[in-house]
Amino acid sequence: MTVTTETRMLLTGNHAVAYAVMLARPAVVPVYPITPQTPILEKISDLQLAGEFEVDLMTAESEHSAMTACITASLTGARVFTATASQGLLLMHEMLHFASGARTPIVMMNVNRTVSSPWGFWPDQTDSLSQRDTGWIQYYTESAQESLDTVIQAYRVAEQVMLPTMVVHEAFYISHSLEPVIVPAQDAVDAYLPPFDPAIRLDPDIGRSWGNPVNQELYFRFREAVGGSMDTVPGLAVEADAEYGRAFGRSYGIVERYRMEEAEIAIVAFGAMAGTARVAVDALRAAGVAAGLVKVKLFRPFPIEAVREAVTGVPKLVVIERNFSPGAGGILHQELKAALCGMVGLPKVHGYMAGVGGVNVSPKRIEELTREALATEPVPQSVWRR
Amino acid sequence: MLDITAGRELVRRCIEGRPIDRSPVVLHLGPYAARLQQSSYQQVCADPTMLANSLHSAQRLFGCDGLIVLMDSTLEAEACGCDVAWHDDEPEVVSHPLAGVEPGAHSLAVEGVENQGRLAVALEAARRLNTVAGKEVALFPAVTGPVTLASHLRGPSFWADLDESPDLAYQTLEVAGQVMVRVARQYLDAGFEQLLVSDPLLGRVDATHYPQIAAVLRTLWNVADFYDAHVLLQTDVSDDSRLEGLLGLGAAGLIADGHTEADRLASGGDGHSCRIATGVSAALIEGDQGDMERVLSPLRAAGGRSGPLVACCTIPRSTPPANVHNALRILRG
Repeated sequence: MTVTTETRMLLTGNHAVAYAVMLARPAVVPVYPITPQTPILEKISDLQLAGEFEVDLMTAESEHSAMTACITASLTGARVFTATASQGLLLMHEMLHFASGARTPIVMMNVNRTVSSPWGFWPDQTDSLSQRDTGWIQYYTESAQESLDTVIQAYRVAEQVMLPTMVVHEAFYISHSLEPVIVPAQDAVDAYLPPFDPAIRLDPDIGRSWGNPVNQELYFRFREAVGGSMDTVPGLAVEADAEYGRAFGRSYGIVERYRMEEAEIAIVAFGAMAGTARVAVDALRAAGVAAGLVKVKLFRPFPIEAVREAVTGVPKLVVIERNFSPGAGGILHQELKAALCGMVGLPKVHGYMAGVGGVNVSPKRIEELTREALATEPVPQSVWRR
Repeated sequence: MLDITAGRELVRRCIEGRPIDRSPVVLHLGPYAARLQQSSYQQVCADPTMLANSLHSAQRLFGCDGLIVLMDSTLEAEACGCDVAWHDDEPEVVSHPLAGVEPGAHSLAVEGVENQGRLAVALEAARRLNTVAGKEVALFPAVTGPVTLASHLRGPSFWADLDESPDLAYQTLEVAGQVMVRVARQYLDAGFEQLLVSDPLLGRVDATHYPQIAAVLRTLWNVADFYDAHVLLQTDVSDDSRLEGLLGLGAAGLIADGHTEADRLASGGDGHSCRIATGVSAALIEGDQGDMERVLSPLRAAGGRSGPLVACCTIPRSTPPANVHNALRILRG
């Protein structure tokens, strides 16, 4: 079925991503199956078999090979997509650095899953967050609709800055949950996302090469250039999102403030936790607690200015997250504290690692943690809360 | 020797009549906690953060086994539409929505009462305290009992009704009971393991009315049973002849304000499922420390057997903190 008009469908998060990929018209999709990402690959395959999606769907022999194929295809000027999760992402690690250094605007969907050992299949953001220094832009989404919309936006941003982009949603909470999703019309997406046509590409007739050995000075300049491009991402992401909003009626920002009026405390969260936190904020507001939510959607580059603006005037923040960096604690907690460093009227920042390993964090639990934060003083470390 | 370090466990054992090493001590620190924070009670009652922090700080200062979260009958009254005036930082009910009207089931909007006024603040502060201190300390959120609330809602007419038109008084009690159960459910839903029904005026009611009061309270006992929670009843028992009747109202325990004679209270509790607790008077905690030693020392002899639980429901704001520490020292031996 070619999406000729905007259509409302009941889709899982993973299937919503597959539709987004089809609408973005990548030419090459190298991918290797892994739970819980596999339904993305299956749906893309279904759409291809049905003749709806003209694409070179490559099944590589491993995730490492899949990413290598992505890089090469992207260097030739093809729009590229891939998807993975957990161990698969870790197996790609070497080539993730290569992809950003080679300035390939690949878009990848990562479905957050616990990393071993012990073995598990549960939602946990540590897999993607442990790749935060690889030079990939990272977006985190909280619903199937947002995943679909963000994949399309990701191409827009990635191809402007020539950096690869990872869109991330959590296993099962998002990947396998059915939600009503508005799938945009192909024409509208084509208007929003013009074909990828890089000026410089790998062409055997011209004889360019990538990835050559360089001296210290040149290496420094390459890395500095990646950093300079990264610095432009927040502004470009805001523009891309705003234009998406004008075209499709949905926009998210890179940092969202929810019910923050006169807030005495703000929950800071990303991914599916942000969706649950909305319910908790509503309940807390109903109980007379001036609580709000700051949702961090763009995690790399970390949107320092937008976050500082979002929390200005709020005396307390409580980060509730689903990841763990041994020796450092909750990763959003650490990133947030660094981003707020030196801020006038610095809020007190609590950090709770509550959903690690996929442990369900209910709205009621978020209410409890918010109350605990209101009634206690924060410590520098992130705190485990089962 | 038992090794019970958490006040929460000590209090629970005491209420359940199981062996304990010493009498647990439960304090009501509401307005006094505000004073320790150098704030007014009116001020802290308007802000759940200030209220929760003041109570938590005071609890940590004294290290009591149990804490009555906020015993203030004007909270429910205000939430039900009574006007409250403040004099010397003490709230006083000055209007009565059921005065001069038929106190039927629809005469008061009970639904949503928990979200009104300072009651919503007290609920929120209690939830926070339960989150940060509920594992160690026995927290007793206080709900206002039917007699005191009925008196607030109908004013002096309630007492006249009791003598002249008891059916009208019982209708008012019924409405007050609905409010009490609704507020209690908020606390029980928040995970509290025990409640205090504070009904200072109950002790003034003639025992002939106890069957109707017992019927109103029974709903709460049933709800608390569902949550596996204990409910204590607190009132002023200045008339000894009413003690037996009060013990028969079905609460898990009775805090008899003003009674500190341990032997008599212990014997009064015999033969009832209701555990009797003793209330340390405001005059005692504020007054001469020699008197306090004389009166409270016998209470610590409870070691090795059940009860009594010692509650201090009113600590006058002028009480030096050293007096409270001294009371705890005497009771703990």
